[in-house]
Amino acid sequence: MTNVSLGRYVPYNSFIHRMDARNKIFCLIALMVAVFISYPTYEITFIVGGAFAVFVFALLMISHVSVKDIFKSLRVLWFFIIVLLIINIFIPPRDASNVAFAMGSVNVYWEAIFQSLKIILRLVLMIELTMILTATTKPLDLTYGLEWYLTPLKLIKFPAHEVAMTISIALRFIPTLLDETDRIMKAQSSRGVDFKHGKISSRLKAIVSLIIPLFISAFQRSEELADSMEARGYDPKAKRTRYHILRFSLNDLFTFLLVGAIMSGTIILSHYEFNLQTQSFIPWYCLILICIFIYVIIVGIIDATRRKA
Amino acid sequence: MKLIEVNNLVFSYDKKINVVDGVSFSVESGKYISIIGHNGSGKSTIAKLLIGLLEANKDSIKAFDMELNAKNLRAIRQRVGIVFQNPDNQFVGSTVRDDIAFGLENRQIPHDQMDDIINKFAAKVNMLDFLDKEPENLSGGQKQRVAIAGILAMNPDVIIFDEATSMLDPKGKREVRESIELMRKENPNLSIISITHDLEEAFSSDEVIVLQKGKIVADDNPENILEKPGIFVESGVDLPFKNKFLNLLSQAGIEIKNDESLERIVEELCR
Amino acid sequence: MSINFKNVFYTYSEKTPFRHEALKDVSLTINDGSFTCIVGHTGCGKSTLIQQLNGLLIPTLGSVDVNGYHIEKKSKSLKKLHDLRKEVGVVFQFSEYQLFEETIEEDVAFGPINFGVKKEEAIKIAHECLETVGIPESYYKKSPFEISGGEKRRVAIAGILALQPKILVLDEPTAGLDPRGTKYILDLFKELNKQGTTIVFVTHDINIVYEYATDVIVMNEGKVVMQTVPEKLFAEDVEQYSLETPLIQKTVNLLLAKGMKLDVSKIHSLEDLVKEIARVRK
Repeated sequence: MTNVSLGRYVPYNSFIHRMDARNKIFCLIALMVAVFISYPTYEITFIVGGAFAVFVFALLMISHVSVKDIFKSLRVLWFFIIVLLIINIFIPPRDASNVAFAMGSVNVYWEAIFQSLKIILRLVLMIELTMILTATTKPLDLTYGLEWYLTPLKLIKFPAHEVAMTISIALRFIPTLLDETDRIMKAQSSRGVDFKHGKISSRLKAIVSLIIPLFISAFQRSEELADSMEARGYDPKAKRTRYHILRFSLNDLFTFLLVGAIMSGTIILSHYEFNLQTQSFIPWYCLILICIFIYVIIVGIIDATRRKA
Repeated sequence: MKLIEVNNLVFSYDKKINVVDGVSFSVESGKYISIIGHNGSGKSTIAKLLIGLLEANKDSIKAFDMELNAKNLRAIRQRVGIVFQNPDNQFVGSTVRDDIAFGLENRQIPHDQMDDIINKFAAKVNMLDFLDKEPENLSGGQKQRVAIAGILAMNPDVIIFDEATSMLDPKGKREVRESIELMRKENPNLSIISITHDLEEAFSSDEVIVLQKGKIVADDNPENILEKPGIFVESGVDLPFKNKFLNLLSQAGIEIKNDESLERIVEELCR
Repeated sequence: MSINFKNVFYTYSEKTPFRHEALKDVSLTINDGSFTCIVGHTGCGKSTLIQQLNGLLIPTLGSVDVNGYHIEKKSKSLKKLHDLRKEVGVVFQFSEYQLFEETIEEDVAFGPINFGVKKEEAIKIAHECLETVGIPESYYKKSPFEISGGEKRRVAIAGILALQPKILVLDEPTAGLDPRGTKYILDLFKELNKQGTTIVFVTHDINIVYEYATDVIVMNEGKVVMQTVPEKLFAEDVEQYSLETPLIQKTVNLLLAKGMKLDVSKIHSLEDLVKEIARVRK
């Protein structure tokens, strides 16, 4: 009934499915950083970009994401790609000097085309990486993973548990509310509302006739849900045990190190221009990298001790 | 043994009209009590007061020898469970398993015991094959059974059903009713308060409370209530089918002596 | 002028893994002026079926004719569907969720205004319809969100009646109402039916079929199992269609089995049954 199959969790038992959600979140961010790093020349950019594309495609295959879904996920990009091309063609990058061809009075530069391609490639990779995460991780595990990263922030009174609980309930209610939207749209269509055509003023009214009932219903649902949770003894401030426990396995350690290596590799590549004599940025990046590792390890230790107690 | 005692319970949402107006009754161990009355008679409000979701007037509710107040609320809620009307709006977890676990997590049941408890109570409501299903793939009756399992898993002494079957189709109603019967059989000390529109169900319970405009108009066992037709006229509640039939027959001048069951009535009619 | 389904198929999310065949080769006729009940348990395709009646869903295969409108996949003309929706009013399950305007009268007038009726005229129609459903005049300027659940349901029904439809389609309009509220709106539909509106009524409640229906359609797994009159349906064992036997019918069956010669065609309610018993005993 709903076509939100995109990015939805697909139950398989692949290597990536079995990975710890916390590790997957780390890997996603690390790989995104790697994808977004700039290189001094377009040649390196596209060689590395191409390598990443192959890598990400392999990951997609491992996670059993269908090729059809991949194309579907990219469909939303078309509009963006066109806008990007137009902007880059009319406002070329500053260093643009090589004219590819001329369209009337406008010169189209190679740099403009490369620049657009670079951005598109990054966007595509970013979307696909996110899709791997959502397709292989149960929404609930994802929220638990996020909560784990946010636990240290409890020190500064950040409501990590409440945020995670809110997200997991929101995820639980998305299908319910989509069904509801569908039903209200049909009910209003039966009263002569046209959601697809008509003047702006009547379209606006149509949207109001959908939004207000949706809000009313959502409020009522949340009230009843809160009652039910409270009656079942839920108290956000009280201590709770956990049914779901995330486990960091040996495989996770391996991927964690591998992805860390990939990220640092790209950083080194981008700043060394294959020349080890240039001024070194390495210490800074290593420092940041080490900080991330230490953060993850400390949070892990805190978690382990708490579970024992 | 009296588990819950309600004494002169009064409640108002707007401080003008008392939705619940001086209600007193008690819940004994193992009793099945039905509360009937029209929408707006204050039935559901009483349920929410009993579980402390609404604040009752002072000293009006005593449960397990404790006053129902902020201090004792947690302890009382550990022993009283409630199943609400809307199956969707009480399903917290993203799967059946998670939903039953939700209450256990609140109770701080250790992780390694949870799976056993979940399996045990899912089996009791016949949902063992659906443990990993999401709520959108379950029928209303199945969701309500999960809610029952979630509450049974917390091992309560009293369970309140707040119109728990009114949004279900006949099949769902039957499934939920069977689950209730089974759990009564397994635990005869379990008390049930059922707020319902289903007269056949209400008049098969141990005690019927008829509410009208926040006041109790009758509180007795079903047989005694059925003998006072005035109650039904006054509260506007319908009679169960058998009694309606008998009344109409006697209006038509046909008196039935043995009105034990429908079969007996039919036998006598055909004589 | 009636409703005609010719070999209708309907499939949700075709060509996806979530593909679901909701209607399979449905052919049926609903006569003008009838009170037709559609029964069957959840997921049998009832709700999908009624959405074909005002073009909310277009058959994947086959065609539907409603009051001279021909609905088929190829001849999808939106203008025509818009007009059709004025003639076929659909009241959805939990219809109180469609209320959104500031006042009750404006909400009821919303439908007619969408179909081009002037505002003053629409408000007038709204008042008439609110009176029909028994909403007192003092409520007209109230917000639809400050009244009780049963009243909301009636306002929502008035919102559909305001379209002055020739066919009224109702999806479980009594779900979640108390017995008094249920009886009130059922009697309302019966009255509308007497005045000539065709009623298509989707329900789980077999007692409603027994007391109100002139025609009945039994569905199971997307197929029409039976299209008949209630007397014929209840003469059979309805439990084979996973329906419950109404208590009156149970009593009638018991009496018949004991040899009492009742004229079944005269029995539509408990009062009728008692009258029949009294007549036979004399």
